[in-house]
Amino acid sequence: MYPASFVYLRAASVAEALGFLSDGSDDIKVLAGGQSLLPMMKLRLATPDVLLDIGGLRPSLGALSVGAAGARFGALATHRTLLLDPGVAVRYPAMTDALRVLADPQVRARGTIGGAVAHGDPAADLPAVLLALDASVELARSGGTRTVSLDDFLLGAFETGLAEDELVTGLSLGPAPAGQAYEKFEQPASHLPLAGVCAVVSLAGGVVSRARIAVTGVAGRVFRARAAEASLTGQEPAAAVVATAASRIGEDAPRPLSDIHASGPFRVHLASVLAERALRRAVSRASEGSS
Amino acid sequence: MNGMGVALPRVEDAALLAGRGRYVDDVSEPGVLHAFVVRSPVAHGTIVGLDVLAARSAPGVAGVFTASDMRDVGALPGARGVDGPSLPLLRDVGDKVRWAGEPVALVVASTAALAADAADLVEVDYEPLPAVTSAEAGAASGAPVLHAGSGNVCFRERLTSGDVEGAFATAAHRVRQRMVSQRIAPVALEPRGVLARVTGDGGLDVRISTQRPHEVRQWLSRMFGLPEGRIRVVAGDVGGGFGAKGPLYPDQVAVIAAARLLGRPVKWIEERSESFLATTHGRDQTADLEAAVTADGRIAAIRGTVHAGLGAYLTPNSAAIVLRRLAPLLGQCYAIEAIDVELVGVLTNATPVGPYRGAGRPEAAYFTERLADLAALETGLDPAELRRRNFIAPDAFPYQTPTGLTYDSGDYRAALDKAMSGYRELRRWQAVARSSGRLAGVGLCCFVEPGGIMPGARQDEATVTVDASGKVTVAVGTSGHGQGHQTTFGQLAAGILGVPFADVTVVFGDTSLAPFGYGTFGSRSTVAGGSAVLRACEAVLAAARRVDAPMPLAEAARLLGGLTATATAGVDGETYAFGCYVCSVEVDPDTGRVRIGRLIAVDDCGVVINPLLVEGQVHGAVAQGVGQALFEEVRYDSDGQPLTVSLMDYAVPFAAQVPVTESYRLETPSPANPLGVKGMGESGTIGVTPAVVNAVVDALRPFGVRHLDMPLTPEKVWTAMHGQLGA
Amino acid sequence: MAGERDVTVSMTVNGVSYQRSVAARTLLVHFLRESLGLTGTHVGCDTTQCGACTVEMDGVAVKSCTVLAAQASGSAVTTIEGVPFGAIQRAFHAEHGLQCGYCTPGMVMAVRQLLADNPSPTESEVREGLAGNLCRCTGYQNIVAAVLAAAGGTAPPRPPATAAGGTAPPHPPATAARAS
Repeated sequence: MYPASFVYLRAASVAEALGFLSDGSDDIKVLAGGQSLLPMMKLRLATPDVLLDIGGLRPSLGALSVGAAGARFGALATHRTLLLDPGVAVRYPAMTDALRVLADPQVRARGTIGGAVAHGDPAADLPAVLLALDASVELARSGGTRTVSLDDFLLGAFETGLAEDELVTGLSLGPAPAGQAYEKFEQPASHLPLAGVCAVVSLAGGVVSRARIAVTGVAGRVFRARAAEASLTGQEPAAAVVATAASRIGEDAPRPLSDIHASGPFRVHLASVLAERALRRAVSRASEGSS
Repeated sequence: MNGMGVALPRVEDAALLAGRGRYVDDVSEPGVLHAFVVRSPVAHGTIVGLDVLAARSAPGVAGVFTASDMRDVGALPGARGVDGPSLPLLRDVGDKVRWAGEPVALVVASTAALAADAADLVEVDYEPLPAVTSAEAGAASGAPVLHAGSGNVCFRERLTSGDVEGAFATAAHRVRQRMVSQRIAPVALEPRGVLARVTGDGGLDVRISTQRPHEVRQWLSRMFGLPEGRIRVVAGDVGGGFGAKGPLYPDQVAVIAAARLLGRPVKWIEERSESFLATTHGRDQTADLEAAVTADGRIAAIRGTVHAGLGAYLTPNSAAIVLRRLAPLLGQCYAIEAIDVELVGVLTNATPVGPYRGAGRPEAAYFTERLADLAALETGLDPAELRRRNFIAPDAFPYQTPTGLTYDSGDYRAALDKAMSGYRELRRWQAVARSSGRLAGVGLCCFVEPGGIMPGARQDEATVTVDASGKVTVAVGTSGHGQGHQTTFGQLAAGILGVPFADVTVVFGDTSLAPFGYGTFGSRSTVAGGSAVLRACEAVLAAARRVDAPMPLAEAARLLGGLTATATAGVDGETYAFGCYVCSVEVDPDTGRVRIGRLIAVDDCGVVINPLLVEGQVHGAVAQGVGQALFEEVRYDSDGQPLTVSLMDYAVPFAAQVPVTESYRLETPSPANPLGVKGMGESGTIGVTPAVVNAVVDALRPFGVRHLDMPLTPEKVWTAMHGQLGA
Repeated sequence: MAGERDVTVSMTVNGVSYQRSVAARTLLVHFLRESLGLTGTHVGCDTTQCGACTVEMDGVAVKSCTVLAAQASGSAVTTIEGVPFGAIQRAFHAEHGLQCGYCTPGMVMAVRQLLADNPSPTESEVREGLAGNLCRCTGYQNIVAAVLAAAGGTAPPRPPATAAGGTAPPHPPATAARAS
């Protein structure tokens, strides 16, 4: 319940934060919303020597903008802010699906999108949606900035491509089709997904022109179900096609997680059930809205 | 009687809603120090090294204590009625540890954070030993032995009555089933805690989150060699207990001992993850039982074996839960003539077991109600009809069970009848749902709940005082911790004395203010406390009649300069509340998830003082019973390592996971006490679990599922339907 | 700026300004309870689940066990002690929405947020809105009734979405279940 002692730094600007990160202090962790890091510190599963609080950088890092050309979310945009944003609800309803069932209202009020991405939890709701939406991660260091696809950024369980001297500064999305949905099967104690599937489909002439399906909770990292995507692409999204695609969800799963809550095979099975439900809803949304 | 049957909102609420409760962690003392318990990370092992030097010299540390510092403290009480090892306080080099979480050392420092830091510096080397966490495995030959010189089986008793052999020989049907009432954790929202201060006369002032302040005082008196008169135990506001805050724990005693050794007040508050290791667990019984059933569906006999996993050491109720609650109650509300059950209590490398809401009664109802449903399946009878054919008749009370219990009153048919219209509606719903291929199930549970005063227990007392201004104080020995006793006993006393409810103050939970009480647990307080309050009020009224002319009580008190009387409960009887719970479920064939549709709860707890509070008890107990049925389980790996050590893994139900309870009440008064009341706080836990499991098994009928062990998780249910998935 | 193990935090709590020096690792809940003596906010777990520690920070309900006091420096915090006894508490009282009271302050703070975001919730929305708050005593039924009553609706809760469909019997209202 009591974190180990640490040296506390509070950054007054992004530049200052990047300066702290680049000065070579070994064991420094960045504190954004703290809804993932502080629980680990309270159980002493994380014991950083230095904690760099970037909470004061909301003016520079908290903005969000959503439009027809795409969206950009500052790293410090909270889950609550994103959930309440009407632009997100209209253009990225799969995000809203996930935000509604992510953690709980109080945790959503503090947790940030940047923190969620930087933490690399293989059982987190939002990264699955962002992956299916082909998100890009904006990173900054003292020397400059870079952008990397989320798919390349997420490496494994709590492992990302974030360098020690880097900060996640934002996430960006391109325009997305109306056909998107997120489905979740919850672990009842933690609210984390035992399996979560996001489906994003574009329809052209009644046929799936593009499909993205991302899965969380099942394996060591959030992953794209490419075999499932391939089996959908170019097909009419009829029930049998959707079912076949869903049944292939596990083919791209790095070794499925097995624990007291669910075995690996059952997680994969849940993912296939959720994939079918997510695809059905995505297709239905695709027909309602314009792609 | 005024005040009875009135749904009065609680007087307790205003303070609690404003955040003015005083739980143990809300209280401090000048110069208080804070403790942190160093616990064994291994389930079974010998301590070959124990180095506290680094911890002792860590910042802020006032002391680090091990077993040798506890030499002068007497032993914690063992289990009543059986020989077996009671909990040691702390450990030392050469000692064994027998469960992951066993207290080894105590660090005391100026802040809780510094105590936690220093605890990380205590170096303990363990030579691990093989561990056993299952009762059946622990009883088998070749199992790792926990306590040298004795096997793990700490009691093996047989409860027999009637002609069991004959019943089975002539039975038209036999149903046999292995059933597990799994180990679960009480999880009161307020963790345990204690604040101990040595008083000027060398005595003790102890604030402790407890359900039994007088019992605590008695045990501390024995353990520390102090007269009870120099020990004050105050419960204050207690954030739930559910039985687990009944025992006195080694960590608490070590903290009190540390306060004496240091001459400084010491506070200790358990952390939540720690509580999964340190606070007693409930249930952990595996039954292999068989019922002999006649052609017309009567259960003529039950026989078999129950293995109870007790954990690494005994606590005061370890044996009683199994021998005095579970076993004698297997007959439930049925006229079952013959019984032959062997009860095997087994020590295991797990957290010690203690009372948890129901304590033996949920297990009995579960085992018997599952057998009853299997008997219905076998005989082709509707499960409700089978119950009906087995009920003890309403004119048979007081009813002597073959197992030595005396049921005070009951009308089990009436409870079932009350639930029948809902049951029939649900069966019609099920038929329609099934016709479209949905997995719909209906289950029921008929049960009895013993409560009140167990025979031989010391009587609780109440002191009623009318001061010269006519205001009344009721001091009662029971020790409520959320049940609303200030309201219940207040309205009871106001009604009997004929004074306004607002003029009555009820106090309890403080051994310096309240007369003796056995505590609040086991659905006993309304009977024990209520009866004592009644008798004390009657004594006050009698005393008031000393005045020459009849006059209001307040007047008489003014004239006499005040009136007071103390009385015991004066009753010896256990009460037997009863009920019938019916529930509907639907199972998702794709995911195995169980959703409860409707839950109908018919409870009869005799005369009711405050129906609002009674219903609240039903709701809360139901949530815990649903938790056992669908969500909760304490799990260990094969090395005895606990796998469910936080709320991230142990699924206490949230609001979205608990169904609405449609609560109905009947009132069959108890002849066992003058109020006619029956304890009922645990009824919901007893009644709902079997109803849910019966409903799920019923829903899975198309798959030929006969039984499924709890918790009925999605994977378990799905696998029962579709078979094991390959890797 | 050199980092420190101790920090000076300045915050307004229940309308009063405070400035204190505390260890940087001090959680907001411990700051409120120990430094300021506001013990109405409770600790019920150590994994950010139970919600007994819920307070309002800059207008939004958060779990004070998962915020550093240092993070709250410069903020306005409201605890249960700073909430006037209003419709929510009255409804909890009338509906018997509390027993031991330990979860209650956090519950009230969470309900304030729930109703601020959704003034006329359905029963299902109330239960989902309480996903961050555990109660072990009440079984939630009367808490839900209290929230609906505080929201001003005396309309019966809608049947859970998962209840029997088709010709299922209608789900009776929770408040009407208080029958004999």
